[in-house]
Amino acid sequence: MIEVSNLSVSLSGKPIVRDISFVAPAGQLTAIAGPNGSGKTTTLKAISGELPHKGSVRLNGIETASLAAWQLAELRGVLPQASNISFPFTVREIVAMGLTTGRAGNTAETMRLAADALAAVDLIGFEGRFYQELSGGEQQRVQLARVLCQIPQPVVDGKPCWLLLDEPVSSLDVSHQLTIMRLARDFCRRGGGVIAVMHDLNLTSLFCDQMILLKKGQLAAAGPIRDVLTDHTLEMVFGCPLRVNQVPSDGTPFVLAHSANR
Amino acid sequence: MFIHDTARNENRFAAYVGRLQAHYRAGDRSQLAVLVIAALVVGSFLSILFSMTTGASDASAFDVVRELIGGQASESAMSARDRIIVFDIRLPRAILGFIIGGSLAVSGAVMQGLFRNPLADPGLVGVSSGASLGAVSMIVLGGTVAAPIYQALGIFALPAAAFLGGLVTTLVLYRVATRNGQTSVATMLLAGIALGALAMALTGVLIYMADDKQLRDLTFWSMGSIAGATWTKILAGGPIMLLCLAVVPFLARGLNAITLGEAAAFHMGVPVQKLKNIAIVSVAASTGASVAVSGGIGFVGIVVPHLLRLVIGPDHRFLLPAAALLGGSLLLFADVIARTLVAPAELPIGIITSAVGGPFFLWILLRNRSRLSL
Repeated sequence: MIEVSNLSVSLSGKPIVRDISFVAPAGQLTAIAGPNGSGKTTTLKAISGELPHKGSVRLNGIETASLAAWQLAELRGVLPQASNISFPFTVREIVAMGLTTGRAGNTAETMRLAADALAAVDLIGFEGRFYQELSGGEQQRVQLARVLCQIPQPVVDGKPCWLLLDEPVSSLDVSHQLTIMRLARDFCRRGGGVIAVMHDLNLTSLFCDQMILLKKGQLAAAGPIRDVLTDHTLEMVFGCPLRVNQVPSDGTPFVLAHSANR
Repeated sequence: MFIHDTARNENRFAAYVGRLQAHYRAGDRSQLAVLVIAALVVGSFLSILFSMTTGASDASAFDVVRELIGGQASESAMSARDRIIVFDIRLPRAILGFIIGGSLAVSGAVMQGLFRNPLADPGLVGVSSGASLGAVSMIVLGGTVAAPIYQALGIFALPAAAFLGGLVTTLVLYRVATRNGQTSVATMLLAGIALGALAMALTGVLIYMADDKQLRDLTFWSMGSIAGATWTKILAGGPIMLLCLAVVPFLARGLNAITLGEAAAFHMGVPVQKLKNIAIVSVAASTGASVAVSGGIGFVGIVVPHLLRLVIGPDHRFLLPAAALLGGSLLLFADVIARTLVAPAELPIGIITSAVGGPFFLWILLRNRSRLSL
């Protein structure tokens, strides 16, 4: 599991995240949500080991600050927000980069893993295309395939591996949003753990197990979806009167923006 | 029998080409890159041989090869005079030219990878100017203020001073142009102009202070030429450049990862800070060494990696060795042109590389105008 306790991050002397504590268990999809500028991405970056921070972040019980870059790379993969690349790499070359730094196998194995990863994000046949010539959503899925090459198995040596995804579905069409969210959920069902920064509250409700809500760099609410996704909490965090509704048949919560439109 | 063998070889060749095409279509250019590097190895030997046999004095390639293989023992077809020209003048020149060309191209490629930008080049962003400043201070101040350094380091004083100049410029440039692991192209190019201008102003002050003999040294040095190549010069600059050429391939995977951004490289397990330090020091060292022995030779570092990226792609595992070979060969061809175009006089080689490189650079700019978003 990932244990975050009393996490604080300052960027250029300005406090961005203050005193956040929560636990993300393996086998569960944890969403981090909140308004723009509430510190979601900063929190994820601190968990990934990329940003210096106060407080403690423990990955499978080990303090991340004590691990070298290559040790972290074997435990967790990170999907960043949009990244542009100024060199003409092909899709396959980008995806295979995920293999070169982790536990690289032989060439045949490499080829198979890269092909599997591309299939998982619905990009079969894109191997020979140039990354720069793809649309934003396709680029995002190529990056996810690269991360899947780095962390191909949810569990290694009996210990869970982790995917840290920063807005994994932000530029995808609805069908691919579902593909990627299912992929993340399956990774959890097979024993791994996922923390994802999410904006879409409905997808969060459909696929995630628990939810961390941030407001102005502080923890506003944390827990199972049903406990966090309430009228009161949403109005407090987002500052507009959202109404949480339920589909009568199976009781899955959903959110409509209509209610805020007075 | 013979016909049968030919047919079988043709089949094998066709199968090889088919495999190459299949890999290429699947986005895997590594097989092609290996082929290109093999061709470049052959090309490099040919370019060295070409450089040794071309010039005012005739010596056929056949004679040179026989002399190289047989050494002094064989019954030689070459006169003593030819032998001196070929082995004491042209051979050191060819070797030095090859190493310098290779170093310039590789420094360019490493710097472009580090800055995640195809326009970064030691010559364009002021690193060479910084190295020149170091070299000029050693030439001008070597007799007075810097005399102890000059005496302690001997022939290495000039490369060492140029290295320091290049290192300081690269470090300042990186500090200015990179924020939170992202490098801004505009800031990098503008900061490079500012740093280059500053270095040139200081160089100007030093030249103003120089006496007549120093001025003569400076003039010959700054023309950018490998004409003065001697075994001593190879000894002074060669080891540093060769060391950098040997270190740099170990950076290849890290440089690949860093093209996705410093954060992404860290996520993939690359020790980013260590990689940057090694890359910056080796770029500064090899730029410094090549500036010290040959003056300013521009554009090799930008033209060669760019051409190679068009063919074999930007994977540094293949790009770096290929750049070393192509850079070396191209500089030798430029040198042959420089010394035969207006024979028996010689053009500075810097003029040739800039005359070809300048338009090429403009072409890259025009081609990428939409993408670079300066």
